[in-house]
Amino acid sequence: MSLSNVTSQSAGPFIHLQNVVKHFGTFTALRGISLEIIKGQSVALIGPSGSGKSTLLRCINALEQIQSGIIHVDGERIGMRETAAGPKPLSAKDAARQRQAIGMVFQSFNLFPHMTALENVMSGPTLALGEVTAQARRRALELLDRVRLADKAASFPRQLSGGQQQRVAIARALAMRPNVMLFDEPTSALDPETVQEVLNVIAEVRATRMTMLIATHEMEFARHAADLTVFMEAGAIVEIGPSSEVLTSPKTERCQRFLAGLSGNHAAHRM
Amino acid sequence: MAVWDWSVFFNNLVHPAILRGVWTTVWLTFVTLILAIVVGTIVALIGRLQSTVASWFYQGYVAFFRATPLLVQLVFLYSALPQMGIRLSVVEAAIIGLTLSESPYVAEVVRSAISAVPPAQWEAGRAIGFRPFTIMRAVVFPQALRIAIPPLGNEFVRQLKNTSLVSAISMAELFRATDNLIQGSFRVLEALSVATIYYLLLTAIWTYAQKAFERRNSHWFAETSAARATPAEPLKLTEA
Ligand SMILES: Nc1ncnc2c1ncn2[C@@H]1O[C@H](COP(=O)(O)OP(=O)(O)O)[C@@H](O)[C@H]1O
Ligand SMILES: [Mg+2]
Repeated sequence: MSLSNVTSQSAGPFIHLQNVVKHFGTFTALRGISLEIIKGQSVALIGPSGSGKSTLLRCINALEQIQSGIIHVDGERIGMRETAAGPKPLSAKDAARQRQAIGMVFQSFNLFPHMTALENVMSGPTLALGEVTAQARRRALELLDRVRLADKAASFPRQLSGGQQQRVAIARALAMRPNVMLFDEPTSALDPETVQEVLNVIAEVRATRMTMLIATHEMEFARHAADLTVFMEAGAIVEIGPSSEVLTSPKTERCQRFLAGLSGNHAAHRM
Repeated sequence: MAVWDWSVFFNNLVHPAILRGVWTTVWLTFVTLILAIVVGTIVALIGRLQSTVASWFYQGYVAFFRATPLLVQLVFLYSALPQMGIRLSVVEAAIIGLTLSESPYVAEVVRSAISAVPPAQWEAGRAIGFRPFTIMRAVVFPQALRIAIPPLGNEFVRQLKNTSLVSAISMAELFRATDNLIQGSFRVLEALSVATIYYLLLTAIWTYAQKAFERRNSHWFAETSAARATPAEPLKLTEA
């Protein structure tokens, strides 16, 4: 999925969702989401728990299959291929190849516990891309240095704090040289004192002009690290706009109420 | 005739036939357990394929080999197969019988070990862009192995005891060797005591070695329990 810049820019938005619908059985988790994100934009997804933020992120890298609608990333249709008889789901192999260009960071880190921090970061390039070990190791060490964990290269995940594990997870995702990063509440499982170190690293990723989507409850972070903020509720986008506007003077009453609820009960926003 | 004759006992304890029997029991246990681990792992992996036929095969395999007594399998392999034109030596029949009868237990251990690896680990692998086979090989299997090793170690003791049944097809392992001595001397108590001591000794050595191994590699085993303790994402496993 490494189309040249020219192709991706001429193809319109870098991430393009058109009427995306996701059902879990009879429950509708996404009710026709449309969203356009241009290359290099950073977008915060906010909204109450259960509003569909995770589901939306998971659909963008085809961890979930959508029931209708179309998702394009970098001009490529996600999870589907066009055939003479209409669109068909991608093979597991092709879906894997698509995900290689889309980095994902989970709330619960999901590092591989039997690998050291270094091996975790090397795993993508060596096991998915077939890169030679020496080269992958050099780059993994650079990335660990970038997330300020060079001294923890030989540590296993269980020996690291939550904040350190999450920074390794970010390095692991970056090792694949993705052109999109998806963060699903990257700081929600962290002790308060380690939240900031992870947010700093994410802000640095943004500074590289990475296109990214972050589901978060850290409104202060969203305000200065996201160009756009999307407020979701019950599987739909209720409000979207520049972060400064959506987060300081929301237009919709539901977004106002959501933000008021957060500041009224500051401790609850980690839940 | 005295109830207990120490000289017979000591004579049996170091009798060359008994020592050869001990050795046969030991290698037979190791070889067939290792083969059963290979066969059982393959069966477990087949059982995980998302196909009805594979799942039937798995269920049928496990049910069949668990339901048929090892003694029946051994006699079948050694005495019934020749009727169908397949002639196995005693050693071949013993190895095949012990391997097959143990394999469903291994398959169940491996299968539950694989399912004990959190779904979040699959997800992490998919999100990086690994193909399903790579996730199994590099992410899930190494963790499942750590979970499976303690219960697989316990299977050694079962297999050690099972080897005594191949005496029925005349393989000279420990029990058969003991029985041969009894036929010659009619001293049952001393000979059986010697056999019992060797079975106990082998079990004790194995158990000690297994515990020492697990203790020495406890960090290695902890790496997987740590994974199990991480807050799991809700189970979402739909493949695109
Ligand atoms: N695998 C699943 N099966 C059934 N329901 C699900 C599944 N995943 C998510 N949901 C439901 O979809 C809704 C949206 O969930 P999610 O995207 O996780 O919300 P958020 O991340 O905003 O908290 C919730 O009601 C949740 O219960
Ligand atoms: Mg969520």
